[in-house]
Amino acid sequence: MNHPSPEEWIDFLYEEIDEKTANRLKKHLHDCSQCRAQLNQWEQSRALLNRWKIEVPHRPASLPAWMQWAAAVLILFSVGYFSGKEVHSAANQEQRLAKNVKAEIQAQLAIALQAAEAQWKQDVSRQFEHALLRIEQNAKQETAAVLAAAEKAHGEETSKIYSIIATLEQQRIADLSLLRKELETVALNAEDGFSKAQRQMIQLANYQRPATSIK
Amino acid sequence: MNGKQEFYMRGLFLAQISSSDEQVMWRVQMHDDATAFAELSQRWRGRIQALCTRMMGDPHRGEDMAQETFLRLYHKRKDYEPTGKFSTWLWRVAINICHDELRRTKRRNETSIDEQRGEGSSPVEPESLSDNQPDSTMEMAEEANLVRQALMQLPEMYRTVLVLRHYEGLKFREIAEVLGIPEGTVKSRMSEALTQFASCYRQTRSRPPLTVILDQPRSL
Repeated sequence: MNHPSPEEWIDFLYEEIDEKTANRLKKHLHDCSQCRAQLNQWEQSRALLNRWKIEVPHRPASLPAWMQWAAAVLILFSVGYFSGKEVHSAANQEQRLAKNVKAEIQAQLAIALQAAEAQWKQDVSRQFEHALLRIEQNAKQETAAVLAAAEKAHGEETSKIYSIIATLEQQRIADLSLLRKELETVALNAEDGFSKAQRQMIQLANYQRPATSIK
Repeated sequence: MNGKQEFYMRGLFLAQISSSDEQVMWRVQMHDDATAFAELSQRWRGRIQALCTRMMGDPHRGEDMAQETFLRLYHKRKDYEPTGKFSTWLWRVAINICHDELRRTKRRNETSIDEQRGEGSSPVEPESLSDNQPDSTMEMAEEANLVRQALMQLPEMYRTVLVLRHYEGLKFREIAEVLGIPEGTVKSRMSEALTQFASCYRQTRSRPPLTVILDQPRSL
């Protein structure tokens, strides 16, 4: 029986596996007691590990600075509002005070918000400038690197071509010298043939029929 | 600034409220922004401290290592690559600090018999543990202590993978990135870690407490 690898079982154990593979492993697990025992052991280890719990420091909910300022303003005016409410019991005064406090809170919030937003815009602009500068520098560096690489590649290519041309030239010279030798051999052979033919023709021209006795 | 730019700026302003770790780290890196650094510390202190505690097997040393991690984070802020994931970088820094400290401890030969047995480190103490608490709380603390001791007996490379995956919940791919090793290696280490842990736990459990050994009368 082909057992799945430990890596596959670990994926299965921590559910980092696709459904198809999971189904295959489940089927194997059903049929294989050896793998079942191994997986059980690992499950037990995991259960044991869960017994060591650590109290981690709680992270306080953090608000942006402008919200914190806004909350402070709100609290301050709320205190003022409720204090004022106790002192001035008349309903119309309360209403007027509440209205004033509300207007004041809104104004303060708007100021705080505007200040925070302006500050933030400044930060963002500065960050944008830095980022653009950095991108530009990176682009320059990368372009220079690409150009250098291209130049290097071009140089290598050229030297390769020169080397091939030199090889071909040498080959051509060798072929020509071979051809010349062959031609010289053919010429010599032809010359010998001509000389031989000439000699035979001379012999033939000088040929005299031997005298016959007439009886 | 025209209306469209204003619109985008407002959008970015809203996005600022929930800045990612990478954005906050960028502020630390570019402007030495102390508020941003405090924000990052707040976000990650708990998890880093838990990691260090489990790597060192001691809450006090874990706290020291977590502090050391954030110190190094600030000192090395210029080395941070903004294209990479912040958490991967932070986990790596913390793990390296723990490894360095464990090696230093080993070199100094400070591991006494007590520490080897896991008795020298501060045991796991549930909050406000007292005599009149129910036995189950005591048992839970004792069990946690056994797990801690067994975990500390594992070789560092196995403990690291186990802590990052089991306790910190990192994916195997992320652990591979943090440790700079292939994902397959992480998984095989994990399987070996779980196997060895079971064995270490059995040994730790079967061993009598040191106090029992010391209390035994000497045979002449």
